[in-house]
Amino acid sequence: MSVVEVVTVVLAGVGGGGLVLAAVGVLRLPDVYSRMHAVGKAGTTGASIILLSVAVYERDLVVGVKVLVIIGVCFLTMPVVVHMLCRAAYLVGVAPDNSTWRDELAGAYDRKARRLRSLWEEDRQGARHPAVCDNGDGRVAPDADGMGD
Amino acid sequence: MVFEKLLLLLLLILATSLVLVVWRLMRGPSVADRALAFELILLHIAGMVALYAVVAGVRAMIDVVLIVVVAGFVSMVAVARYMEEGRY
Repeated sequence: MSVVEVVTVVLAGVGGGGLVLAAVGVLRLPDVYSRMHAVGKAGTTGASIILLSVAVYERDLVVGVKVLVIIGVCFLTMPVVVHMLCRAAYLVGVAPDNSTWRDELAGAYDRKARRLRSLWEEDRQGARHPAVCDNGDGRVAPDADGMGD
Repeated sequence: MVFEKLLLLLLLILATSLVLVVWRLMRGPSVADRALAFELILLHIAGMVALYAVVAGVRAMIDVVLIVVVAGFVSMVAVARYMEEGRY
């Protein structure tokens, strides 16, 4: 085996290991919100490193540029996709695992308008008051100044 | 010779991990679980097609990877929007 082939096999092995790790994570992690990490980080990195090994093996300008474009597209789109899927899961009410100890979005989503709002609003003096928020299940956070929004 | 054997072994390992992801695709309690599993399947396909391009010596296969990645992005965004709008 030449040096190029050794480098190719090592890079492809590392990338394949990343994909296998992502697969194990998707299989074993408890809920959607933690499986998101396996797909978004290990999966993207693994596929990108495999593509890098192809570029090393070919040693061709066109192939190299194509591989760089694919890696760029991967790193731009995968976080968007994973975040959109988990946001949709949260909005339709997929329950997090029991080991989740803090839900910082609880009550902060205006589910009718599908807007994320701050739970606190600042008035002119800089003091913080709880903001109005219809969270879709009938509970409304206390009104700050009694004048609605 | 050893080089091709090693890459074929790697393809076999990736196919095995693909089985794990397909298991999650069938089990996944929510639609988002299945969509995430399918996204990982698309990444596996991208990696395996790239390795196949090296093993078989077909450079045109790199374009296939680009199409798979872009089509995966568009379809997953569509799935997420349908989940939000359709409430299922």
